[in-house]
Amino acid sequence: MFLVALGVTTYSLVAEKLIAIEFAKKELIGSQYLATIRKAYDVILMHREENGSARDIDDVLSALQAAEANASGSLQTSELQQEFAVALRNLAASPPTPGNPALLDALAKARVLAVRIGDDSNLTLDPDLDTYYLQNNIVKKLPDILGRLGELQIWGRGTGQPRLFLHQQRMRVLVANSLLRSDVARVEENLVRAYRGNSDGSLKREIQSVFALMISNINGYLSSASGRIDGNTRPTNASTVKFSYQRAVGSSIAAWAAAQSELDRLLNLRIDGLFSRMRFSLLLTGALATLSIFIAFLTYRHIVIPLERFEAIAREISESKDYSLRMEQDSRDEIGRLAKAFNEMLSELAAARDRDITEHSELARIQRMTTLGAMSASIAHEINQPLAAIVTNSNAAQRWLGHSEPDLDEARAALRRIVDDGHRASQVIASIRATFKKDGDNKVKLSVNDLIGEVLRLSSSKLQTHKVVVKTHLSDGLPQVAADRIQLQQVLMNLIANANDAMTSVTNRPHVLRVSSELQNADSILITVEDNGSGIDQKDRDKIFDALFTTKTSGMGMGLFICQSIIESHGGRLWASPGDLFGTKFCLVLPTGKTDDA
Amino acid sequence: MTKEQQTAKPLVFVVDDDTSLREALKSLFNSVGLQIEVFSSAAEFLQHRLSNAPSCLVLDIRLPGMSGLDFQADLAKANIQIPIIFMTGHGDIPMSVRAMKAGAVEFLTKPFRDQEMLDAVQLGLKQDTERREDESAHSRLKADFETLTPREKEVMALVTAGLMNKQVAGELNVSEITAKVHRGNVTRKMGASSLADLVRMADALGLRRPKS
Repeated sequence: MFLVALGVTTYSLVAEKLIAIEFAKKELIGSQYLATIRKAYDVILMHREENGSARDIDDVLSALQAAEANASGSLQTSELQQEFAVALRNLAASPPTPGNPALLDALAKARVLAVRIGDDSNLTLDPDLDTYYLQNNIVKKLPDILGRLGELQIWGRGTGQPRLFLHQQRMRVLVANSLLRSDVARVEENLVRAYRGNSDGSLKREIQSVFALMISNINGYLSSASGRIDGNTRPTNASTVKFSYQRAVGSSIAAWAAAQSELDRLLNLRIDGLFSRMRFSLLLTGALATLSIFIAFLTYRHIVIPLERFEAIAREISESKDYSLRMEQDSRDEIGRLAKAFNEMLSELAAARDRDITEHSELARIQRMTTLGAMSASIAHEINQPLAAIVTNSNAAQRWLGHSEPDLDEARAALRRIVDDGHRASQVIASIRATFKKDGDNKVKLSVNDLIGEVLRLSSSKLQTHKVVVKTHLSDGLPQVAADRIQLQQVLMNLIANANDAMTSVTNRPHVLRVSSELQNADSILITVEDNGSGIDQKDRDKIFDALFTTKTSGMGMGLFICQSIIESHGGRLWASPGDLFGTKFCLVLPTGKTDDA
Repeated sequence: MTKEQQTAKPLVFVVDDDTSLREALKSLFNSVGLQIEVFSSAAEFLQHRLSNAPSCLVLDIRLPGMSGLDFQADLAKANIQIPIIFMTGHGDIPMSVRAMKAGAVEFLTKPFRDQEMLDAVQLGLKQDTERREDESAHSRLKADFETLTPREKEVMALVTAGLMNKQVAGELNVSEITAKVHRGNVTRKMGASSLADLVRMADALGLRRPKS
């Protein structure tokens, strides 16, 4: 992106300069072409006068050809050059008579060619003031002046018979005369403007004297020539006129040459300037690019590298959880401050994490204590129940016996209930002890069906009270299981009590408790206890085996927790699923230990 | 005071989900000659027709399906006024405070002393008997009052407000003899032994002296 921007900038800069350079180079070509024209004028006006040989004209022709070839088609001058060449050949072929039309024709063609060269070679579009006014002199004014000098000389000489000077001819001379003066004035104006546009004044130094000479010579010629035309002043010697003419033409050509070389010099100067400016621009762009790359490098070193280290540390901490890692960056810049903040944040995180861990272990301790408290409350309740019955029965028995006629039957019944309750209390204690005793010393081989029958008998009064119909489906010939009788009793009693509780709220259908046993596979027995009660909420199903979880207003939430731990200590599984139509089905799988049996 | 309401024998209701404790309590109350009905749940108790006899309720605070405290609140809402003795397996102070505030007679922790239980039950039965007597006396008074003619009611109001026979006659625009006859009827029909007795009855009935 950056490099593309740099490339585009450089390219547009170079292209712009190259266009300006091409422009100036084309001007140079035009200027050189004009030098050839100047030579042609020299030959036409000077040497023709002196019966100049055809060889001079041939020289000029070949020089023209060379100049045209040099322009190499960049100027659209070939047609005009051909016409000029034809005019020159005509001039060479014609006799050197005064007022030769071939001469005038050649002059006219030369001027047209000069103007075309000026137009096509960008000279007339020159952007600088000094070169613009200078080229204007060279392209337009000097050819005009030379052409008019030539015309004036031809017409002024007339046919050699002064009396035959026609009025028209005189008028023509007068017009040419005044045109020449105006041209000279324009040349002077252009020079003044060119000098003003030339900042270092070198132009003026080089050409002022030459042009001054030219102007004075032209003025001299005009005054000598005008005397001959008017005829009022003393007749001028023809040779004097001719001499002043030659001086005027010569100095004009010299001025042209000087101006030409100055124009070339200024154009070359401009091309050099453009080249050096282009080099400077390229240098500047290069320097900027280098600076940018340097800054990018510094950015990378001072920002990207530390950021990568930040990232690496953050990643390492998230992987290793080692919060003691720190970012090492002592600089006082933004990155240094960021590193400080980053390290402080890490310290905070580590402290928060430590606090979390402490709080968590504290919470776990409280939870253990709560569980213990709840368990002891639950145990107290389980024991208190038979104890209360025992105490009450004892009191009742005492009162029956204390009557004036002791009622022995009632007392005996109370004592029997006391014995039952005493056994019940001891079973509760035994099962609690067994729950927390991990060894399997109390395990004996027992029949599951016998155990179920026992438990149902024990629960029968409670079930009858709640009008529960018990339906059993016990498979025959089940293998025995090695189990702790009291623990297993406790589990089944708990499940049956739960089933009973779940049905108390149901009033629109008979209460049915289904208990079944079957061989699940070769080495395990499945016991199910199913009620048609209110069922378990979906949201509670995962939690019913948790300690302290209960849906009962008066429950401790220990029953199923203890049941599950008992079954698991027997290597079995206990789970709950919804009943077939209503209620809940508890499934209990016990291993038969068949391998030991065999 | 008639003694006819006392003919129904006092009755103790026990609600506890533990069978053996129910049996024990039945035996204990029977041994002191108290009638007892046992229930394993609140719902079962509610299905039973309440007797006219003075009664009280011995309630376990942990009941299947519903806590004893909630049951107490439900009974109060249904305007069933029966003294309640709570039993709990593990005493906890907030629970007992709540129960006592709601008007429980006693809050006993299992296992309890038999005398405490019997005392609590006797206290509950006494409260219920008194409440019932108050209610029946009042209803008898009302029934007597309804036997009066409108004129006799007016006479009773004026007499109990402290007016002389002559004044009563003036108020009602009748002869003094007629007023005297009405007053005699009122005293007889209401079974009052004196004017003071009649005034007390008028207060209990909430009679107000008509504006003169």
